[in-house]
Amino acid sequence: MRSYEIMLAINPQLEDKELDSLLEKLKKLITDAKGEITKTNKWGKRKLAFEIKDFTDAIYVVLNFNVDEKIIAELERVIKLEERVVRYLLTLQQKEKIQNKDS
Amino acid sequence: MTRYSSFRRPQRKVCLFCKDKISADYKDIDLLRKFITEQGKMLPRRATGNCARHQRTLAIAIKRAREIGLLPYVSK
Repeated sequence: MRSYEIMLAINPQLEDKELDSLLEKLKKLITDAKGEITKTNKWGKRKLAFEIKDFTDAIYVVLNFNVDEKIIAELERVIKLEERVVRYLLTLQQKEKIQNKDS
Repeated sequence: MTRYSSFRRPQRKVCLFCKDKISADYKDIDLLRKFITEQGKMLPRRATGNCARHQRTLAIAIKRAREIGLLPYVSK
């Protein structure tokens, strides 16, 4: 088990319902693999610093979760295929915590 | 001669991350913006006054923020 953080930049034209169903789909993938979601943070619509796939805005969502590292490859594959996700950033949390202790 | 004698070494800056005991996070855009130029370039250590370790973590945080579209790679 490792703790991860994923930030998703999602198509801004999505409606609230669609957004929730998309997040539900991703969360289900994690919980089905015996992982747990510790935090969900919806930032809402934000302007992008530069255009990505012709979008100037995106809906930002941050998910914190603990999951077995074997599932990550599958999770990344699904997110890459998901067209509603404009861009994502997956980061490992544990390493950063160790760095915090050092400093 | 007076020119040399009047030279004063600029005061050494303290690393902001050491001082406030915080770590650079790619989500904290307002903080990261302090460490980039108007063009979006990272400031060097001699300008920020950060310690080597925190400058390194800061660089990673800025690059991550760029990847997800929170900070620009270049602006103008």
